[in-house]
Amino acid sequence: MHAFLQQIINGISLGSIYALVALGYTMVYGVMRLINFAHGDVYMLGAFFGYYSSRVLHGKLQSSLIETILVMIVSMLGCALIGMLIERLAYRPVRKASRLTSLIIAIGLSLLIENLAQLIFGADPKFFPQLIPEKQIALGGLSLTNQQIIVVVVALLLMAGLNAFVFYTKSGKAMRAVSFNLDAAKLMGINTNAVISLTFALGSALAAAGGILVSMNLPGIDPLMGVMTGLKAFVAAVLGGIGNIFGAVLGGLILGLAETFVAGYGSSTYRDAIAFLILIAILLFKPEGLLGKGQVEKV
Amino acid sequence: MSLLRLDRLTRRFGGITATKDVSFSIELGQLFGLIGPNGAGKTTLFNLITGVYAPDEGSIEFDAKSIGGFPPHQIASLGISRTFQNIRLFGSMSVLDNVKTACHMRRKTSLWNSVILSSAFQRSEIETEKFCRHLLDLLQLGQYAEENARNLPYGHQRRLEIARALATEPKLLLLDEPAAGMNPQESQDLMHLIRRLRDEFHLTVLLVEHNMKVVMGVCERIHVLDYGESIAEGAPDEVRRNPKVIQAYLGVE
Amino acid sequence: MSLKRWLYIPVILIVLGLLQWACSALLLDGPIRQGPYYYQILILAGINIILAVSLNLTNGVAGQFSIGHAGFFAVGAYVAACISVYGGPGIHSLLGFMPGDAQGAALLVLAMIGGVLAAALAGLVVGIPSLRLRGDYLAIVTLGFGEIIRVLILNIEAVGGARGFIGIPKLSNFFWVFGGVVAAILIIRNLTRSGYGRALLSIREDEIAAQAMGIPVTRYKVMAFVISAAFAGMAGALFGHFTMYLHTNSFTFVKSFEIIIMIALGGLGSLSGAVLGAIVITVLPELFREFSEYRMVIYSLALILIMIFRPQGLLGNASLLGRKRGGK
Repeated sequence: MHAFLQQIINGISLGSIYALVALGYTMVYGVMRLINFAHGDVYMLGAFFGYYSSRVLHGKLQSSLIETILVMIVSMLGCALIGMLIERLAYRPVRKASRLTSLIIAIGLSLLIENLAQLIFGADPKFFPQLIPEKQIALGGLSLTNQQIIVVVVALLLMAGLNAFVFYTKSGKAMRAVSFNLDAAKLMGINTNAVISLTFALGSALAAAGGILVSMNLPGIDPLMGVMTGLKAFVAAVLGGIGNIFGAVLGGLILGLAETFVAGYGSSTYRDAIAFLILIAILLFKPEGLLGKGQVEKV
Repeated sequence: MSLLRLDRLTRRFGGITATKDVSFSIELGQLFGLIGPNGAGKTTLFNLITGVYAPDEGSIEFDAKSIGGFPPHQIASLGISRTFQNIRLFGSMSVLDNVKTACHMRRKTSLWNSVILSSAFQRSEIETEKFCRHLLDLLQLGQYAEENARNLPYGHQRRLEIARALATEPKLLLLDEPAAGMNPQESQDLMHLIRRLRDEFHLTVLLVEHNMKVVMGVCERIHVLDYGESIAEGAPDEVRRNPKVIQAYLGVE
Repeated sequence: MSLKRWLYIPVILIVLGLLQWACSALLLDGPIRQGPYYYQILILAGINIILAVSLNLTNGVAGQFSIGHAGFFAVGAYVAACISVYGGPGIHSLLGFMPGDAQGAALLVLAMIGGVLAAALAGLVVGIPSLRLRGDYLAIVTLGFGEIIRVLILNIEAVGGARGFIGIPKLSNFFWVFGGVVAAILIIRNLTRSGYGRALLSIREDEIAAQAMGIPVTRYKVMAFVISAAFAGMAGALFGHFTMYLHTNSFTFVKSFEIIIMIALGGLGSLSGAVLGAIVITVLPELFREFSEYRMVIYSLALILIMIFRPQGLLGNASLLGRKRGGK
């Protein structure tokens, strides 16, 4: 029973990361009907921005909490900028072209960022500093770390923030309008380019936060760390119903739990395959996802 | 003898009933019109007959065979072909290839023959090409054969839709607003064309059209839908005078 | 007419045989320095051509965007290698009456048939459920299947698991690889130009209209997918019997992406473009070996720029293999 609860805790912690990254996929898909394959790599960049900014900041501040917060803000801003640049330079020129074109560009972008990162940062893993010293917390025989709690709490705060933004601000309303119908939104005087930029910025910032949160628990970060996480977060987004913010969170949690259980009770080599099995199953039996709405093509 | 018989055909989308208990039958060789205000369920009916949607209730009988719920390609092979209201040509293929594609179903050689370029394959290619060029000439599209379909002007695209539908060698041809966007002269030509095609290809035609001049001028019998339900049927003159029809179109209190 | 066409086959075989002889004389045992290295590039280019031409059938012609081609490449490679490694001794003893070279050739042919059939079967199993999906979803599902195939192979001890599969006899050479290239190009070209090819193009253009014209859309999509997978399997069989060693790292989705880059470079849907793209992507990195760390950066940047500024590919509408019908 303890082992079971332990797996659940680990799974939720992992799942919150997937959820944060999945949000970016879902938001971008929602407004542009585009799978931004480069999103996983933005997450990787988030980790690296965090790494470098913490090296600069380290020891200059008294409180490790303030340092952590600063590192996060720097990295989130950096990634937001990258996200906007990606949209402006690579996706906007082909927005009118076929979806296949943007899909191929997305693949190219992903490869480009990974390989540029290998050139700039080096291919070897880097040791990510412990921004907040790890503490074990015993909870009735379960072993929890303060890091795991931080991951879940920060992820929850960010998701709540996003939710408030999307549902209670004017920009959020514009974003929902664009995701409902881009052309109609444009006719209503919404600056759709600005909304799309904003969507990329927000999604990328969340991915950056995910990158830092995950790195605090990892032995090292490397330029290819975003590949698998990106794919899995995408699976999470599809599982929940792509384009649906709550779906992304739900999908992330389910995927995180499924993976921890497969790794805990089965073979860890199959750990990466479970995400794809879930993906295939959901697409075959309920392609609109758990919380998504089906669409009928108009003839 | 009736070629197509709809019996109490019903289809719902969520809470909306797009067609409700629609029944009518079309005689062999008839030019049959289907009219009704926007949203009356005409296109839904087309999609039911051609298998894009399956009916929720009721039956569709074609050539004395029940076809309700059959997949579209099978219905096409039984001899029902159609044009689309919002033109759906194969845009980046040539005009000729658009028509040839529609021939594939009736005139195909085996995969193996196609791959080894057997003489049977080559004979069939030559025949197909001849047949398709004939169709294009008939619809005055011959000179555009090598052009990409999407580069054709709108009126030509509508005619290409008809040529492509004819290439499947149908018994029943469904035309979904073929006169949409045409000027009076073009619609006049279209009326002649429809009659001529019916005679030349021994077709039965089901026509959905908003242009009353065309419908009244061409059709021998007309069925009227409103809000998914049948409200009238008869010869053009009867339908024109029917108070229910006038009310549906003009919205009299 | 029919008879004359069959005459091409012995002519092609003789030409291939002569070229094979030239390759051994000049590159392998010959005067050219680094000959074996050039030979290897030649072979890899041939294998990439088969991969690109076959993927082009699904992705370019039928418009069903698959990014799991490496999975079928892997199935073909591993199944063929199993046949020659585990079935090799038995087959050799059965064919004891033949000369050694002929035994090798027979074994390779058997292995290739096995690889092709296995990959085709995998294509069928993956294709039937996936091809109901469209666009992005199909892409991601094929990616998933590709990765699952790889993970499964990684967990089979009989084929070496994570250590890799060693001891595969070196049976393929220029003759077989380019025989495969010619077969792939001719078969796929003829198919594309037939009514089946037009039907596939029409599916790419508008599925609903294609169905209304009597094209059984799902069956044809699966057909294209299976043929494409079969050729990928053939490429795999040839690959394993050339490198003599297989590791699942050669079959990740990065390999699938690489094949996509090849066909995007040449122009989606264009056969000659796929051939050219495969050659460029194989040879170019070798020419710029000193910049090898920039290789992938240049690849990916080139891919993005091509898609933005010249989405019809570098070749565009030109076709090296005569008038192309229907393609973009």
